[in-house]
Amino acid sequence: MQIEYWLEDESGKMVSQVVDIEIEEQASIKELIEKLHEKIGVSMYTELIVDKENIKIYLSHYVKVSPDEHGWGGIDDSSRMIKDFPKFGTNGLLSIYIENGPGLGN
Amino acid sequence: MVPDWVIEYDYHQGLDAKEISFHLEKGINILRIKNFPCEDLNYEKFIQVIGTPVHELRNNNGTGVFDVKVNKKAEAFKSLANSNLSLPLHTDCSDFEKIPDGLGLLCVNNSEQGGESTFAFLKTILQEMNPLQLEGLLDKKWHFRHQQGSIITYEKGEYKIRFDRVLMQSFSNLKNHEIDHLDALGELFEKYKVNMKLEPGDLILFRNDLTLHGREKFPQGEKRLFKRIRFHLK
Ligand SMILES: [Fe+2]
Repeated sequence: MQIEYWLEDESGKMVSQVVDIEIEEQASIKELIEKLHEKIGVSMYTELIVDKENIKIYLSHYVKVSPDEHGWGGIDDSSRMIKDFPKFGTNGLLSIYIENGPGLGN
Repeated sequence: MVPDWVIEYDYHQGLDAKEISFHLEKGINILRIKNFPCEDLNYEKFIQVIGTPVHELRNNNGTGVFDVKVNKKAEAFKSLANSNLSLPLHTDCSDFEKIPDGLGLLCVNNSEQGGESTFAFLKTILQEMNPLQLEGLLDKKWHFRHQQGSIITYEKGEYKIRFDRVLMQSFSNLKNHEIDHLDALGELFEKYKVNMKLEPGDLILFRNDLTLHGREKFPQGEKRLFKRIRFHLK
């Protein structure tokens, strides 16, 4: 299936792309997110330096739940099936925002 | 005993929002309200009287409230706030274009061991800093991820601080001498660190641009829960 994903680029601007992921809509959103990361070559976690130690932090994910530009909603239950999520991305695609920013740091 | 850097109120005795705003405006103390109800909507409504909460995606159900508690899956935490690690003194949102100047932390549950909240006041730090050090901090621009700026600024007759060692180091390539500089600064801030252990129902309010805050480490199994609201003062 085709999905749209959003990621911050190096300048901090949110950019979107459409990718094709081999997955059934009956699969869980968790599985889709794992496959998405694999496909686009972005690690599932980032590392922060805290007191000279490296700490692993998972990137956060949000789904577009309304047509509003900022209409992102959290994923409370990652075992939910893909087909149960609303599709408010471009051309009616499922849209996922991968938060890789410093929000993870505090 | 209430430390002299704390102004204490009791929710049951009624709160004067004007007085609270006045003290936050001055930004000299930490305000501690005892017996505050631990409920998101009421909490946010109260903050709305004194400021405008910042709505972030990761907050609880589109509110201004974020649950600071341990959230770990396998090897990784959901965020640094969602860890049990000690957080060195910092200001929040140092990479925001407009940094929220107010911060509220409502303790629903604290850890039995550790978990003390820590603070250092810019006013105290400035009193101890030599003029050359201060000049250096006003001049040197650092990367706060996509924002560039000084650690200390002077705006409208007032010094302000922004500092987040974790963010500054994790999201930019610092040179060795810059790391040494931040180490020295961190040590200086630590010298003026005071701490307080919050009890369930304690709400603390303070200035994010005039106070550094942090917390001590606590055991991972502890059910520590603080509710955080970042806000812009009215
Ligand atoms: Fe913080």
